[in-house]
Amino acid sequence: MKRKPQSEPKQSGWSMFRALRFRLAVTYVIFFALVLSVVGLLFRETLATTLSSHTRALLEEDFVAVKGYLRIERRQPIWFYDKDDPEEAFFVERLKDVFLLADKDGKVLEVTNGFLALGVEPPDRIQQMVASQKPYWAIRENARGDKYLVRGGGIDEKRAQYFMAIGRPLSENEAIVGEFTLKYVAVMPLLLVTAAILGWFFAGRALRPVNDLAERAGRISETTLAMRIPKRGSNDELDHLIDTFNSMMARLETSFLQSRQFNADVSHELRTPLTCIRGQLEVALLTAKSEEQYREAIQEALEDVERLGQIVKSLLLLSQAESGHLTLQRMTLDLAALAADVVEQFQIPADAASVRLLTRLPENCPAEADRVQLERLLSNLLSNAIKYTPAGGAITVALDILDGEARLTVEDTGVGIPEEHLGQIFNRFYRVPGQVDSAGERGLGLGLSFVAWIAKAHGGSVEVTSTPGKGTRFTVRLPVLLVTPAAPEPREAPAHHMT
Amino acid sequence: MRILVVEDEKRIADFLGRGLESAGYAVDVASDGAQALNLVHATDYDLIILDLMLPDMDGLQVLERIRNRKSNPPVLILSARGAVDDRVKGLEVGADDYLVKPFAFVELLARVRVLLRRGQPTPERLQVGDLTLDCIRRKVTRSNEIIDLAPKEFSILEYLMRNRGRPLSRTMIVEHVWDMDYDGLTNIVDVYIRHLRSKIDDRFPVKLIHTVRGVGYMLEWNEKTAEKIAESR
Repeated sequence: MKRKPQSEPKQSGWSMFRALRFRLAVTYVIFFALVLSVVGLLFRETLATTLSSHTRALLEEDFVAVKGYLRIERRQPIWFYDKDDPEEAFFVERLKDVFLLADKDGKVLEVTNGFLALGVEPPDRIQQMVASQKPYWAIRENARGDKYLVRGGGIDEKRAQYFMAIGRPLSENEAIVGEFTLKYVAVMPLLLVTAAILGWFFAGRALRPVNDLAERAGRISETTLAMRIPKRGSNDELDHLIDTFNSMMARLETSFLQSRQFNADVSHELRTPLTCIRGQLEVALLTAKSEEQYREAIQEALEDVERLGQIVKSLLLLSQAESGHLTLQRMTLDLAALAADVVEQFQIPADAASVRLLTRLPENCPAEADRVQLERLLSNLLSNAIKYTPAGGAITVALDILDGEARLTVEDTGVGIPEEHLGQIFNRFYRVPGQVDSAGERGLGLGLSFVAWIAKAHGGSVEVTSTPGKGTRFTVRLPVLLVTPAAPEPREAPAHHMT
Repeated sequence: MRILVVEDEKRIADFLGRGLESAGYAVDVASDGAQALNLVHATDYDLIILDLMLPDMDGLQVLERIRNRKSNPPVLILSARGAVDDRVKGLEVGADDYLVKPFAFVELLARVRVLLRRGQPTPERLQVGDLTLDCIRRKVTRSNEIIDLAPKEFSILEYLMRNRGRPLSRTMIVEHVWDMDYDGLTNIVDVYIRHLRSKIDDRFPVKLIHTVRGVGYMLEWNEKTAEKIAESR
């Protein structure tokens, strides 16, 4: 029964971790693919632009060269060059490959097949171009789909104007760009696979400490609450997570130990009166002979039942207080008047114990507080003081306003508390070993827990100093209202803020 | 028989003292460890009943110091701590028995009686009336008739015979025979007692195993009943 819920979250933790790793790797691959595509496109574009401007420059050079080699005599082009120089001959032949010559009216004087395949401009267009005297650039395509860059323009020869155009194939550029694209696209899957593998690997590496953490956390059970996860020393987010986790574990351990101690204490506290009740009644049944003896046994048992009831009541109240179900009913009240009231109530028990009750209270000390709880706080302190102060002693209740807080002190001339126990007296069920009150009985060890809780709930604190044999002083600090309200006490709704 | 009760809770000490005295024992009460050690030093006690939670020291410390002395009375621990390891620790330090609060007084009385009998030589052959038990040969006869017993039945009968005339609680029988803490499983004892009765009592006019109300069982040969039955024949 207990195993199942333990193993289930661990499994889902694993698959979640796998999913996270997968998602990280996929995101990485997608991002990488996008970057690769954009870079590829940009590079291809740049390459094409560079190549085409390069071709344009070359064609411009060719145009100038043609002008140098060409003479026009009687409307006929004549090429002047050294026909014995094979390099020059080859160069001029190449220039003549795509060539058009027309007069200023647009009449074609000479055209090569290469240019013809690209199409000759209509005469009126040629006329325009000659008249404008601007260089003419165009990209043409022949029937086979080969692209050519064409440069045209007017030339002056012997006072006559002509129109000349030459072309240069662009297919080479396209081939280069095409080849680049092909190679790039061919390499891309390889890069993407590599990216995927790396992404998976790095995602795994990044998540391994998380997985470690999950596994260790999964091994923690109520018997291994003391376990902590060692820090990696990298001072990163994971270390922060481990820190947070460890401090959470520490808090859990403390509260678990406390509740275990509390359970042991409660069962011990309940067992003792139960033993008394059972034993007294049984022994009475075995030994009592007169009605008087039976009556006595029953009375003693009833006293223990009373004690049991008180323990249960106090425990309920304390657990309500600590779980936050008990909220303060705050109102504006006068602490001095409250203290005076409570002290008055204790006059009779104090007289019975031959202990003097002294007070040193100011005129007025307004505070936002819960009347019932503060009365309980002072009653607990006073009844303790009376219990542990021998006859002839004195108890002083004082209230001072210092630095914006009220200091309520209860000081007795009682037996005192040994120093080693001072730190624990506010713990539930803690009683100073060997200390019994004047009636020879031990208290429940819950009163001071209440005092501490009430002070804390009011945003205050309680501290204790004591000298064994001389006396004990409890100091409760409570926040006060600095501005005395002129209006009569407003009855306020229960405050929800506890501090 | 003198018993020392070491208990700081006054009411518990009171009823223990009253109850034990009415059962015929002399009782001294110590309310803390130091007082207990003083009393043990001064007096020879036949039994010590020791509470573990004492105001001045741990009951186990007191037990250790008592054990360091020459006198070696049996010690019965009383504790409000019922955890098994507390029990084991107590028995390891040298307690002879351990009782968790709240307990039934009759249970305490039964344990006290058994503890007080300890230390007396144990015979190899036990006899109660016409019932005999040979501890070595593990043979049981009644009126010279051999009776076959299962091992657990034999152990229970042996325990009852060794403590003849003393009531034994079901818990005591479980702890003694099963060597375990059978808390709550004590009706297993009733089942075994039924078996035992069918084997050693049912066919005979004089019954040996008696039910003691509120405690458990006791084995005793009642001479008068036996005579009466013999006369009526």
